[in-house]
Amino acid sequence: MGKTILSIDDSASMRQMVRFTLNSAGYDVIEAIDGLDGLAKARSSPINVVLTDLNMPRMDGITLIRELRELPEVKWVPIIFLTTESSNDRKAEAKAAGATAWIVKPFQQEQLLTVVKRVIG
Amino acid sequence: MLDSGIAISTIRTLIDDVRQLGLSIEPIFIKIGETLAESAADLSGLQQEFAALSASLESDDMERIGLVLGEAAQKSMVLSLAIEGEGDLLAPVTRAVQEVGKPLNSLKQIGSEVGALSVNAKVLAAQVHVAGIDFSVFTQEIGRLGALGSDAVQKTEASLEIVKVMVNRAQDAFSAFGKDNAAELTQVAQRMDICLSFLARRQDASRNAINRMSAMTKDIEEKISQCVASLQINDLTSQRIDHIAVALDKLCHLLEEGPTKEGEYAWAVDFDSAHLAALALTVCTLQKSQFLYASEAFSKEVDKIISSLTGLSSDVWDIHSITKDVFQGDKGENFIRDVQTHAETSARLLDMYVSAKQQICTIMGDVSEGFKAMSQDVSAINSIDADIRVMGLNATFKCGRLGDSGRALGVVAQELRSCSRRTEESSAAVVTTIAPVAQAITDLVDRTNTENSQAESLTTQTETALAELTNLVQTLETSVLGLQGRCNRLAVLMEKTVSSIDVNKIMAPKISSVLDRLSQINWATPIDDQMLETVQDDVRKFLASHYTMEGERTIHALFDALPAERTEISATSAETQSMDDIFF
Repeated sequence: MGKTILSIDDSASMRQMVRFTLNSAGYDVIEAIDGLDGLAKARSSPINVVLTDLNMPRMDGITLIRELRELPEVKWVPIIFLTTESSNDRKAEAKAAGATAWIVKPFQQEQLLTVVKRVIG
Repeated sequence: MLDSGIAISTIRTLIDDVRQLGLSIEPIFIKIGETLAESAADLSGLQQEFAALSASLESDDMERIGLVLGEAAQKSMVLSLAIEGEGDLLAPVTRAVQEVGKPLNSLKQIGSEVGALSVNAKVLAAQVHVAGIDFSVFTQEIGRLGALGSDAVQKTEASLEIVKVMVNRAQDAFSAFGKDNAAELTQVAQRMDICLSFLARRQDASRNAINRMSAMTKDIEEKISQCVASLQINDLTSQRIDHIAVALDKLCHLLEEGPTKEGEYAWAVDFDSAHLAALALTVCTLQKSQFLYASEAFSKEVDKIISSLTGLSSDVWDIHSITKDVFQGDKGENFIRDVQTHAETSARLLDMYVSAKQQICTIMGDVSEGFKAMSQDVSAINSIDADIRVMGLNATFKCGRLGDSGRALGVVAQELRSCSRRTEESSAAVVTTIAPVAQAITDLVDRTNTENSQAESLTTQTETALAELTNLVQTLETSVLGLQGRCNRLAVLMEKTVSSIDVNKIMAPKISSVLDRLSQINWATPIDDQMLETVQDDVRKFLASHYTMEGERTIHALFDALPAERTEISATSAETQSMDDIFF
């Protein structure tokens, strides 16, 4: 059975590129348009990895991680940030909230796939 | 409130325009992303299809076809060369026909003499008046046998005439056969060689093409990867533009509300109008730099996308072209069809060869029958001759006992015996002359049957190969046309997408307008140059927590630097992070 990745970003074109990259490597992708949507989808579908943007309307990435870590089914799921942010303060905040990795946009396909493969096993 | 009402309203309009700019490019990039996703999947499919087509050229079926064609070429040449010597097989028959005439003439001559002797015998027998001796039976029998003998010789002559006609027909048939079929069989061999040559060339072309395709695969993957990286510029640019709008919005709030001790901009509470104006001007100028950088980066990445998509379109046309080179003939048709055409012609020629050979066999059968008839006639002559000899001997003895009265008849009887001996010799000569014919015809028929059998076997093999070729033709044609159709569609899709990516054209005037307007904002309050130099710290405080991207911070830092220290920054993608940087 294929692995499923929850991709959360308020940019439609970014979601499109992430889906294209992950589908090409054989992963299934569930998309969410922001943190709140992502949380709902994480509750309703089994997922193997969460890939999320940081700055989003309704619920940002840090808040999302904190919420996700409260869900038993997502507690140990790897969560990767895919964001334009590069400040050390924000990275530290994400780490404290429970993030697994932090990729700065723009991403290279190969790099994203290497990171996903590493966390997904 | 700072007396810069015109400036504030100008900025507010600008903020709306800047935000609209960000929104307008999203749909274009979504469309490009869809094209890219579709293209990537199709490209992979095209390469796999090509590989499958190439595999069909190296399949067991194709190998079998090649072996059959090779064998057919070889055997056809052997048959063609065999034809050269076939006329010689008729030589003994022709010789027999020529030579048998002489002994037959002798037999005819002897028959005449026997006839004359029979008449003599009758006359002389009537002159023998000896009691109790009667030669009437003798004379009657000699007369009868003589007539029978003459009839038999005539029949033999008639048989010979028929045989001559048959042999002429056989000679004509051999001559025509040799002329037509040697050339045709050689043609069969040549056609088969052409087919093999076609196949070998296409197999080579296919192997070379596979190697080219493998090299292209890596290149295509890189172009797609480049496109994916470049398409993200939409999101990055939208964020940058949004940050510019937010910065200008913050500025308007500061100018409209003024700094307060309790507010966010408490550090600016002691600023006079000139200071605020300097701050505002610097922020606007900085946003102009940010905007310029964002638009340059955007433009550059769009150029890369166009270049990648154009390159991918070119790759697709290359695949189309390679497919044509490998699988289509010089006239653009499926090359297997050329092979099929040659194989069909060869099968037809082999059929004609077999028919011609069968005709010859039939004619030779008739020749054989003709000679058999002659043999039977000669047997009849021999039988008649044996009776004449016995009659002659009896008469000789009888005449000897008669003394003088039987002398004349006795001479006739001797003459008859002599005719009989000569008949025996001539008959033997006829038999000896026509004896080799039977063997020659048997040899010829055997050889013809063997060659026919080979030719029929070749025809069957060729037809089997043809049947397999026909299947292959249909499969290949469908697949090649399908592949080329998909190449066409994909290349056109990419080309249309490229021609529709006129984002730079859409964006250029808008960007230019924003930049100009940023430059032209008027401040009612005069601004001191010295003040501008001291306001840098204030700008940092104002926008400290504003930036999220390293690129924005870099622009600010460069802006901060003295003009002499400013360096060009390239609007490229962020450097690749190491795994240590990525993982917590």
